[in-house]
Amino acid sequence: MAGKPEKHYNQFQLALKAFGRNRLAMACFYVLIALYGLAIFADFFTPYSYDDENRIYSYSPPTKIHIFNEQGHLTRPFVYGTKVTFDQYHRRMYEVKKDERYPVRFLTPGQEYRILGIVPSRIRLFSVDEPGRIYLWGADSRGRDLYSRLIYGGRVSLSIGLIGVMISFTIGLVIGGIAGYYGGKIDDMLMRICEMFMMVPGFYLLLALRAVVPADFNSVQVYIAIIVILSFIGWAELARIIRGMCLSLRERDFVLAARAMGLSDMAIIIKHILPHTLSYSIIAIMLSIPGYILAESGLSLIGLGIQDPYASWGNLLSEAMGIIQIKFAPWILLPGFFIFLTVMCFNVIGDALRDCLDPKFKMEGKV
Amino acid sequence: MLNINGLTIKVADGMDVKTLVAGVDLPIGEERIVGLVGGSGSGKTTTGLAILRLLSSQLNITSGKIDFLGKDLLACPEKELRRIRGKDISMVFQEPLNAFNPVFTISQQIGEVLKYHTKLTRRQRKERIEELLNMVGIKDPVRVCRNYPHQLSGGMRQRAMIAQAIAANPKLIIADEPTSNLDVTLQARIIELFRSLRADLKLSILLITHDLGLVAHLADEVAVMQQGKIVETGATRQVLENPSHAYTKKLMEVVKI
Repeated sequence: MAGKPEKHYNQFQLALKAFGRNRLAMACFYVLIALYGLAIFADFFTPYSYDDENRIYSYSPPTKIHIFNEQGHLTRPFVYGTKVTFDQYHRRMYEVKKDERYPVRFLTPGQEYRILGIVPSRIRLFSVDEPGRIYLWGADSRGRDLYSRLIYGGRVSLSIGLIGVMISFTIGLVIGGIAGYYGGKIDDMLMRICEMFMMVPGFYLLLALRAVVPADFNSVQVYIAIIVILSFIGWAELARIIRGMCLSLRERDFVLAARAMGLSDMAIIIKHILPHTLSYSIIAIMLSIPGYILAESGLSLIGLGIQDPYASWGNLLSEAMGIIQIKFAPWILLPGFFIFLTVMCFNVIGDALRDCLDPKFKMEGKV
Repeated sequence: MLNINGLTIKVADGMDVKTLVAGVDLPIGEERIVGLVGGSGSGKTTTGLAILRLLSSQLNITSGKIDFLGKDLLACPEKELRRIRGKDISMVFQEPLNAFNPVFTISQQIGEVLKYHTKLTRRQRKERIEELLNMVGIKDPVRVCRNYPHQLSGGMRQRAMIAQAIAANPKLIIADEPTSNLDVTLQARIIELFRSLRADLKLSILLITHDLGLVAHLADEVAVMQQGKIVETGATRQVLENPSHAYTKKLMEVVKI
């Protein structure tokens, strides 16, 4: 029996291998990694802070970065200065001032910030010297850099999905597990509560709950309140499905064996029953994160979520609610594209995970 | 050591109430192997599960006493019972493939018993698991530890199950049809294993089975159960050589074929 020791993969290792073979899903995975990376290290990747405004440059178009000088020689990247004038309709006109040149500086010190909230640092990836401004993706109404605000806004929009899902899934798994394991009256009671939450149309419940939160909350409190509100709505559906799975799981022999081992009910639910719902839960988690991102965006869009000057993709989009703005400053629609990109990536990954975690799906399509 | 007295279990079946176990008396002495024999539906498994109060909620124990070392298991609170389950009294099930949780490795599942009922550290637990697997005759415990239940053969799984049952040094093992799914040679080995364990660990075994052959080889005493009642008890040899009840005779005839 010589030879290399046999290696055993468990279900999840096998699933991960299958996932790795799905190119589209892997691409989406890397896109998400990039987005989260940008958001986490937003201070480094952005030239300005989210509230760094310069009202002269209201709705400034994207700044062109030049790498050739007037003579056509390759130089280090630079931007020209901008002159703002008004036309006869009092619209802003932006003129390039060829005589003012500001080199784009890389890894320069700027405003101090803390990496991950701990390590103090001043280094920013790129910036231009004042009074020059670099608007990679244009500016908003107050002359704030849309690129910087987008990246900072990603912090809120991307994290709300993850944290919201974590909270609501914890609640959903525990309540569903308890209802399914005990059955009877406990089950009835918990399921009626679930139904109460599911009965109310989601967005109205969201609005009603938001109304309960005091208006004078600061941004962090609002952020937490939104997460709590979102998770409050999200758990019910999951709890119902988990409960159904637990009802059949509790009849399995290994649950009886676990009881014969002397485990407590809670230990049995958490250690022996819920792991069996994991392959479903992981898919459900992936597919429900977009819902949270969209809900936060919706709230912020109508002005009930994150408040100016703090950025989230939703409240950045709220500037794009007028036809005039969209016509003359189309770049303010960019946050919408990022929402779209993120939601699509999560959906593709969720679908791919379902393909590799759910054995029933393997029969279809390619073998 | 364990004394079942007048155990009666009923189930509500629509309007009327059915009696599954009717006044069973069954004493199990120290270091004794007692066979509980009967056809399917005779209530033997129900009796076994009732000892640890593992019956599903539809089945009600309406009367009786189960005395274990001076403690009435039917009256003791759930929390205390959990300390007895797996530690003082453990179970071996018929189909280890179902009784093991498919998502955990063998060592995780044996380790669980140790974690709940002993104060061993992580490293000590690992050693103990390998020791236990050795005791039940598994030759390469290190590999088996890392395996999932479905990766083992039927005989190995049953051995691992027994290793789990003896992990916390129980005084009594309730073995419910422990060999029914094994072929004859494996049955013989498991019988051998139970015998040696009884001698080494000084434990008692309640052997629940329909197989009189198994009882003849293993049990010291036998109780024959029919329709929820014990119809005949006695020392194994005496009962099998000289059955007095018609049902026992019938069971014997089945074995002879």
